[in-house]
Amino acid sequence: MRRYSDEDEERVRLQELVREWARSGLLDAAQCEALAADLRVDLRRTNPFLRGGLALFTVLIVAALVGLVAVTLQLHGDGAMAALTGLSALACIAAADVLAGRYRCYRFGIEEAFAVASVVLLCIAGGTLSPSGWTEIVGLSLGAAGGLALYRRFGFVYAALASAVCVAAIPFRYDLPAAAQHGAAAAVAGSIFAATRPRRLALADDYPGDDYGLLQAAALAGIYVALNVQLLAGRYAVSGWFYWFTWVVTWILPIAGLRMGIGDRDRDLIDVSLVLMLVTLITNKPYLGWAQHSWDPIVLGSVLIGVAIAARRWLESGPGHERHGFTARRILDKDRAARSRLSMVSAALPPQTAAPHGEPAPPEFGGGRSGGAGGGGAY
Amino acid sequence: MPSRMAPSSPAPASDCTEPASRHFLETHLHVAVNVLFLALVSGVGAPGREGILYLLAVLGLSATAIVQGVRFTRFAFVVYGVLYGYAALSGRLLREVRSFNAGLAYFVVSGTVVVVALVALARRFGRDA
Repeated sequence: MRRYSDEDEERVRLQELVREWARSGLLDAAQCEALAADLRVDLRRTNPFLRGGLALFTVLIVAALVGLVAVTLQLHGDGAMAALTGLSALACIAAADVLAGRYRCYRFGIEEAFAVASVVLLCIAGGTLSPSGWTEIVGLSLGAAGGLALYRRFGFVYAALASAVCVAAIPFRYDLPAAAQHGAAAAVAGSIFAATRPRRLALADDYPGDDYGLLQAAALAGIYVALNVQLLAGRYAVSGWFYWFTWVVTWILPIAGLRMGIGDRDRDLIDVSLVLMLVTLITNKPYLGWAQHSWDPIVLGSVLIGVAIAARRWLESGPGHERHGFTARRILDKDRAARSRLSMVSAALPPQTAAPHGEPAPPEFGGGRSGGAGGGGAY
Repeated sequence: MPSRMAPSSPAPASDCTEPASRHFLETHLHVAVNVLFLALVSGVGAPGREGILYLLAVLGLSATAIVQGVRFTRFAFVVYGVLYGYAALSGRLLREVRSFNAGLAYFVVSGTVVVVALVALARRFGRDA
């Protein structure tokens, strides 16, 4: 069923580790070369940035080609469009399969784009043919099945995640009470967490344990996102006991995840739990209905800096600059790269200013043109 | 198959020994290049000679980003050069195209050219950097 053998998958992961250890100075060049020679595979791989570029332009080609055929053949009507997108989906999955099989492309961007495009086109075909009112549900169901199939065939973890998101989104398409919608979505994510966690614990970092680790961490985030009703900005508003239940869960989940992550030495789970904890801190005031102020981010940032410094000092003061196997020192080079990416994102994001909390301006001062001393306003 | 345990006796690299200016150099480069590209691409739509000058500036910067990105094996800059250059050129060319079919055909052909070029680059460098 899988396009890549388990041995290839394992070797690819070991190659990554060897490269990382060499970059971090844990292996010298000779050791790296010797290990790399033992781990050689016949797969065609590329740099993550080129992979992204290749995927982007492949998606562009597929979209333009499908559009070109539709316009040139003057296809109209649901049946014709469904036939075109369905046939295109088949062509795309065949192209992905050939690229992965015959040309041995592995996370090369092109075969991934073809595979993902095939599922998207299939969703469009299914949604187009489905009866009125069922379009989104059919599309999401096909997306869920297609994502799972891509994971089984090619091992794309993001396809499995997208599949889970599609399943979790289905309850929101039904006319159900908001509590039932949130609960059903959380149950989907919870079942994925329950299914992946034992496998992650059994396999640890060995393939496919790393995939299960990612899915487990993503499932925890999924439960959280489904239950933190403040994230959806009141779109699916809940009230009463369920509202306060979700508030309690937003505190319990990050703490439980952090505890499990530290106990298992699971970096993905620790990282996700810390992000969830940060989101809990940010959404806590809206949850409680407290007034938000422009200085809230300053206070939060100061608290986080203080916690980070305290944690670092506590770890540094331990025997051998570590405690229970955790150290504040950077051992692997990829941690520096991750920090660089984070700092880049923080520099790229425009500063958010909190909406002033207070009485709105009196209506008599509204209107007018800039520089016109309010001339033209309605007094 | 060897175990996936980290090698023993790690020699941790301390963040404290690295100057902040060097550590953030790449971050600054990423931000600066993106700001520069965005500023120049935003001017490509200007009418007349002004738009042409902006387009030439974008293409020049794209070429520089691609060449230097390949030279220093920093492929993010190669992709910036390709993306911004493609966006600027396409924006300018498609203004002159009146047929929707021709526009779609342009994306198919030009996209294929870019993919072939990127594949050639990817095959040359493999998984490096």
